Amino acid sequence: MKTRQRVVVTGRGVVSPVGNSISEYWRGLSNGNSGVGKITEFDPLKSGCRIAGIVKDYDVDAHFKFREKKRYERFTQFGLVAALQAAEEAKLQELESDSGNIGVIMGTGVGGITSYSRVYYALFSGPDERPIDTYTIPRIMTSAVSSAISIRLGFRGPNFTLNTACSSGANAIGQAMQWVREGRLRAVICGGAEAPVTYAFLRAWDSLGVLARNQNETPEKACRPFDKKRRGFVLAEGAAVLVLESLESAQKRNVNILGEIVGFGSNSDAVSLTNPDETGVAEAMKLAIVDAGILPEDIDYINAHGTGTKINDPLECRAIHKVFGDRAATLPVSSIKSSFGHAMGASSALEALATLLAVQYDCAPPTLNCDDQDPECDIDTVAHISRNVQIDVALSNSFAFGGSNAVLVIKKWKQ
Amino acid sequence: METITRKKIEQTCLETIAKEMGLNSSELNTDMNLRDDLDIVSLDAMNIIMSLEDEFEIEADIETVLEMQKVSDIIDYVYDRTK
Repeated sequence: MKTRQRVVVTGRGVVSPVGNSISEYWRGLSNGNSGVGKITEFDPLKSGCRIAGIVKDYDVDAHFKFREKKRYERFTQFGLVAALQAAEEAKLQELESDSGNIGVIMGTGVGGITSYSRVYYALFSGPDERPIDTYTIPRIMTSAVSSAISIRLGFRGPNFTLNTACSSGANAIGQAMQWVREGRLRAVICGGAEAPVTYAFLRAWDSLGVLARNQNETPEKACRPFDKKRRGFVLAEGAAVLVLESLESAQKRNVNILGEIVGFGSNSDAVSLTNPDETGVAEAMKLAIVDAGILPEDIDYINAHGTGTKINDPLECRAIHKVFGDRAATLPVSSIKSSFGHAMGASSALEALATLLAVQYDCAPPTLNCDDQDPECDIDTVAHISRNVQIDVALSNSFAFGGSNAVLVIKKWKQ
Repeated sequence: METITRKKIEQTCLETIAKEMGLNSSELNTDMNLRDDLDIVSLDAMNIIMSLEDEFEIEADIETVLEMQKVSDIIDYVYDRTK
């Protein structure tokens, strides 16, 4: 076994409702652009919430041949497109001869849900069944996303996709970090991908009462984390992928180092399938900070889970107070879900990427729509506009239905 | 019942294959090898046959279908079952 390795980021890729490249994504977030709009892909009919964060300007034909379009469901396509960007930035083709030492681990919440809808339609929409496309299973299977990345890039290390609902992407990045840190793999392509905006899924979430139903005519104002008038989130889609690599490997091939993943806290509330637990959430932050070998006072910024639901936001704020004490009131904390919604299993990867960018550019992206801050959310929400502030170390918080919490600690790259 | 001509079967088979593989039927000919020329794998072949089953109200044997080599094999197979 090799000695403990430092784990650095050498590649980044993104597909999101606010931009489909790293520069567009960061410009969108830091300028406070909204990626939320009316759903036009299908008729949302009876859903109370009829808006979502949909990826725009995505030209599927620019990325995929007909054969691949047929095989790859939208979430797989997003994951693959983001992975190709990340692999290119990390110049991973240089590692072709060491392909068994490169792994892929992705997170997703619901995988190929669009194809499920198609099957049900074929079976139940008329008096007779219609043929079911033979590519349905490969499109539905959640592991298609990591497999597609592995196949396209030819990397032959471990290939798997995990699901911990809304913390899937962060758990994938955390697991990848551990593999590289322990010296098991030289590099890992990791992140999250999701394309959940179907009528059935929208209705199912809508029935839970956690989607913002009161802003259908002003979608950009729908997601209001920490605001008194918050009514929940909107569904979103997208993917974010990082290449994590051992410092030794990155320096050996002289590739640009973009940041360092220094801590990972993963735990379970062990309380409820749907309600978060303050103790579990605070504990996850502490675990990540301890794993990084630092102290709470070393943290300069938190990218919050910040769903904008009645329950999550005050609970997350109380947990932040528990961990950070008096500093909690002045520590910059923002939620980018205010910009484009909640991309389920991809959200935590998109947020980890935003956290990395915040660290790289010393800039906390804003929490949009926090017009009248809820006194129960007693934190510095970086409301409305981004803030230039020294950020050497940051937390990315992700919590999930089922109680699976995942927190990452991301550090500015310094020798 | 109206007899379906071989010409009509050939035309429908070519159109069905073209649709499944994202091609124009004018790009196809009956001598083409399914795998080597058209990159048709088992899942594509099954989609093609399911469409043809519906179109011509026939039932196909999957194993036989998966052994087919050329475009003309599909046409012959459908023609035999509609006679």
